[in-house]
Amino acid sequence: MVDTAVGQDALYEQAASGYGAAIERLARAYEPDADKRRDLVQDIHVAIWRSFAGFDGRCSLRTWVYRIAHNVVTSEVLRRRGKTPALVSLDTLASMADDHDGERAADRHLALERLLALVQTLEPLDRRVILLYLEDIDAASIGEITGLSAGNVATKIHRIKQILSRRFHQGVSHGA
Amino acid sequence: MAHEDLSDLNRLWQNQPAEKAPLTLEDIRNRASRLEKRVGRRNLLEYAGALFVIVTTSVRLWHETNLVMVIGGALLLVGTLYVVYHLHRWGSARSMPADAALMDCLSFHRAELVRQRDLLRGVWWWYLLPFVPGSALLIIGRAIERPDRRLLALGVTATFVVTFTLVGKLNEYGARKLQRAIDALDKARQ
Repeated sequence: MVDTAVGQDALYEQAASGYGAAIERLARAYEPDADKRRDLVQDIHVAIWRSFAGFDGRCSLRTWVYRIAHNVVTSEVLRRRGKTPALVSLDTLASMADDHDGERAADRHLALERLLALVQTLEPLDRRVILLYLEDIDAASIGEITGLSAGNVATKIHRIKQILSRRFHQGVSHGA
Repeated sequence: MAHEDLSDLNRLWQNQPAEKAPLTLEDIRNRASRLEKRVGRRNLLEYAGALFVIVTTSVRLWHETNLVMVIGGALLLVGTLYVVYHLHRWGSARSMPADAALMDCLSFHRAELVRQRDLLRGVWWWYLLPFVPGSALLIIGRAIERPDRRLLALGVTATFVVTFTLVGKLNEYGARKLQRAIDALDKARQ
């Protein structure tokens, strides 16, 4: 447990500077509306700050932060159940034809838009995995954060790579 | 595109421009305080609503001479208060539980779905049944008072039964959908 409010604040500042940008990207993957997204980001930050009053170091700061962030988003998704468009699983997505077949994702902005659109069509379970994968989180940590078995994470990551490879086949230009 | 090139995609994802300036601790404290005040206001509103129902119904019951109607009204009042309490206790969106970081996403997601499923599955007991004794006595009391309108009482009873059955069945359907989502999560964990 954190002994003082100072410890709580210090942990929060460490988390915010280390994972603030990832939290923004997580919110972007779930909330297209800018105002609602700002609220969601703030809710995540408040939940993380509050949670540090009970931080006991039993898992890493990164796992702690990602769990809180994804759980806040899950609450939000469940709250607006029925108001979201139909979502698909990785398996379904892999079997769907790519609308942009033949179009090259060389343009950085276009590629990012397409990637975001792809992420936003996924069911929460698969969306968590792809988001953590895109953040370069290793498979073991993805399992620890999401609660998925190691085998399941491996299968999903394999599927994600297949899908991304097929849809972004030409690579991404690093030019602006 | 070879799989090795996918790291470019990860870089692209991670290098998205930031939308907002980082939040300060002061921002966070203010936000937390606003959230607490909002919950406080919501609770106050619910208590005020419950108080209004108690006062207005009690005044009506005070002037009622038909004993069956009085008992029916009182039971309906108790039933309404129980439903309001149950909704307040279990139905409202929860703030994040303190142990949210100790639960992996699947466990948290499952716990939320189970909570919602149980709320829908138990709708017969906590939402519909509390209204039955009071409503039944009110209908009977009115039928005793106005024997010429017993057909109307029968119609009201039929509407009551159909509506309750429909609400119950719709909630059962919702609970079954949630159960399928819970089963899918359990399968994912294996």
